[in-house]
Amino acid sequence: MNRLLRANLWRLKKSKTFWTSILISLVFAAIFIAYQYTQLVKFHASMSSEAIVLSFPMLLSIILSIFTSLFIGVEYPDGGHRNKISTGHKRRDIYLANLLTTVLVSVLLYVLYTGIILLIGVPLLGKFQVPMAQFGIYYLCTLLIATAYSSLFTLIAMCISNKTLTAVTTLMLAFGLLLAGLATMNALQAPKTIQTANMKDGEIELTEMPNPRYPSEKKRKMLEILFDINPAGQACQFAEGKILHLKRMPIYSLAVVVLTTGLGLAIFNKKELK
Amino acid sequence: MKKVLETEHMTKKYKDFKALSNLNMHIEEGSIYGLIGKNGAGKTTLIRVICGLQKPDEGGYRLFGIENDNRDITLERKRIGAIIETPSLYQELTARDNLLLQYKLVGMPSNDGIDELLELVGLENTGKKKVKNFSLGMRQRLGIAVSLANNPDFLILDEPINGLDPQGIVEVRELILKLNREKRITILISSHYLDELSKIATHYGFMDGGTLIKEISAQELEKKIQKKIELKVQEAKTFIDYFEKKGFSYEIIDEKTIDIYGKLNITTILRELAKASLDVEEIHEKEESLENYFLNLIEGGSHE
Repeated sequence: MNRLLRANLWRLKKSKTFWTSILISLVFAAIFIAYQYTQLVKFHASMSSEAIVLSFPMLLSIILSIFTSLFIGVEYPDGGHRNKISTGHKRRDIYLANLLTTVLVSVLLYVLYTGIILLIGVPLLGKFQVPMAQFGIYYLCTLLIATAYSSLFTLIAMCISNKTLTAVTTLMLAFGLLLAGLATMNALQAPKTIQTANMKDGEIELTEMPNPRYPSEKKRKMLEILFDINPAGQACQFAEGKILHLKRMPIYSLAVVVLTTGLGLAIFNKKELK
Repeated sequence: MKKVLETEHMTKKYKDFKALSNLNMHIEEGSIYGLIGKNGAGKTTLIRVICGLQKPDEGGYRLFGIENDNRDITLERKRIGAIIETPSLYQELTARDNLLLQYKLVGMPSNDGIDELLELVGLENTGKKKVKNFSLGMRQRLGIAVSLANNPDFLILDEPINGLDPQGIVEVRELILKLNREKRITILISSHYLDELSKIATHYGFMDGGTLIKEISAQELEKKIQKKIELKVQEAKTFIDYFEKKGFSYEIIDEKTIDIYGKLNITTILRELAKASLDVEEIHEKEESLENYFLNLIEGGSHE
């Protein structure tokens, strides 16, 4: 597998998609800082530096979906998989080398983004508002979110032979998970009661009544589990700074990695290559 | 002679369609094996199976003596170089970069030899030109160079001259001969260009309907398709003594038909036979092409 990994890393150096992904991450970091700084100057309020760092997985999912579909998706039309198998590489090794490459790229993009925030963001916006140990745990959790995204997109790119279909599917999945995450967050943040205004004797009377959109206890538990399993749901929680179940999140992320990799390996091992 | 590849009763199905059916094939070390068949005969499927891209449903194959279901088959595959349908090339990379990448994939200890490979396929001056801007012939030649990166003992080329211009065809042909003669690489080359194959192949396998209907050496085939005179006689076996005594190259086709091979004069033959009191009822001069031989074969002709 070392050879496969070395070859992938060498190809990364030559890949426009890879360098563009890095550029987008860095530019986004700079824009984010600039925007928050103007907010700070104008309104004396801005997102904290750690919130800016921890919200990156939401954008990273979109960048990764495009990167994976182009970098790994090209292996089918360009004959990369055929070549690797016919020269004696095991399918398992090919899959894992591609997964590791995607994970490495996601970590690298995240680290570079974080570096820009630390170098420019912290001096302009102020220090982290949470203890470093806590930030460290959050950061590791978000790195696991990035790993879960990597394994999801690798699964798609390794199992779909058509590059365009891979690109569409990964992008739709990234947006789909993000929208699902935001929708779940909205549902969970719905207030238990709402105020209704009634006219009585020419006067407005406000009354509290149960919110019909407030999920029942059973539904709420279900939504919370889905919110925690969905990498985008986890990303939303870290971006918002309202974390429901910190201990569960890394377990769910690892479960996503293990399940998608197991499924991907099973499919790729049986896949008839043309 | 050692066998590089042997298949035994190999069958590959796509749902109800049998792409390969009970296929038996033998490729000797050092040979150039021409795999001939119409489109859809199963040539590419056979190559995909040998290269491990697909699995046989029944039967199997031995690569360098190792069974296909043996775990060590992946080690033996490291001794293969292959182009399956289209060369495996990264379009965004240059010729040199594609070779550098292949060197890393096959674990070559250094990059020595890349210049020689580029020179061998005539792509030493392509510089920074990306593969996506290459002509079909250039891609095909680069594909061959890539497949040679691991110094293979067995080179598999699926339709390597498809879409090439006449110059490209000559270049690829010369390259294949050079590899076989100078580097002693065994080559399996599939094509439906019979004339081209006949210029290089030492052995032939004729495929039809997923089955190998005939395996024959180039020498045997040459004998079969050379100029010949067909005699229709009363009793063919009465001619044997005479032909043996005269040293003719002949074949008794059935009890009333004899083929005599070589460039012979009909009048002389008839005169000589009359002298020996051997009566001929009919005489025909025949010259068969490889094409005719192939067509007769797939139509279930007399060559079986």
